[in-house]
Amino acid sequence: MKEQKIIIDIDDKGGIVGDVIGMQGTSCMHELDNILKDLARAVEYNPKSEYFSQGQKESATVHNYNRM
Amino acid sequence: MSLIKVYSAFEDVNVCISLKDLSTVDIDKIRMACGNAVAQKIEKLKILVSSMNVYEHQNALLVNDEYETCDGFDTVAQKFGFNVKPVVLHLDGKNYVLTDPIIDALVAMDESYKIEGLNFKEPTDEIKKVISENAVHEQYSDDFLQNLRILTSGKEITVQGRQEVKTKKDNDRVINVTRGDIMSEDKTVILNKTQAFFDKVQKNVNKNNTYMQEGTTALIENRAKQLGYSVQQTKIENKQRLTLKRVMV
Repeated sequence: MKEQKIIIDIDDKGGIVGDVIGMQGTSCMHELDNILKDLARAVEYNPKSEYFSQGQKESATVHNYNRM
Repeated sequence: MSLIKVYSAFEDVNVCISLKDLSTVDIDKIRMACGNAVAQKIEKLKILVSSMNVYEHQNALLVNDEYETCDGFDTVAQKFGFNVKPVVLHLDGKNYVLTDPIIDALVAMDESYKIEGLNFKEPTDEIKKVISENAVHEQYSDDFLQNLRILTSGKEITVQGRQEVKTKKDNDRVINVTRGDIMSEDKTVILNKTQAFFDKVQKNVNKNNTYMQEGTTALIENRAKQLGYSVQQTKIENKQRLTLKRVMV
């Protein structure tokens, strides 16, 4: 059994930053999309270096800026 | 022989009132702040109701969650600052009537104000009736609304006041006339009520960032739970942190 963990910070203007731990490559993006879809007008993905070497460490950071 | 007497009398006078009498009120800034706050709220509501039917009547909404796709809709909408009242009517699924104090304030200032940014369905007479009977609006008297709309359109209101006039006479010859301050209870009442209205509007607008944060947090938490995550919420300085965990078999 493997644990998926997502940490999401919501600032006092409704801006969102998400951090995914325990998922490989694009799957973490899809998972964040499932949760954060349509919540922000602009989405900027900033994968961590580990993101590009799948199977080693499994994490990526997603910044989901709310620019309303 | 000189005999000086002072006669005092009160005269009815007209008193003009304008928003300039309220030095703390900048109507353009208030309107803009209200408009921005409502736009933010509606944008978030649009996400929440994306799979629902929405009807509008007299600046209140009826949200029909026909397929009951959004468990906890009322909690999330309340976190965004809407007044939410669950209602029962002939439509399938769960139904809620929504109102908003900032929208009410905009309507109070301008009765032609209409909610924009949502795709509304045409309400039947029955739906209109349900909305009218259940909408929790801010309550203002007709007199207050009339005065507020005159003032916010940049015009003046004329009310009655009284002014003391002192006439100094030497025998029968007038030697001096002085006028005191104009006293107007009507002016005081109108200005106090108008100031209280704008204070309340300002307070609601100031809470909007909190509503955006709390509503967004509740919305994400709601979605995550539906996706099978356990959710823990913590406050870190000015941020709300959600820690979502799910075990994959």
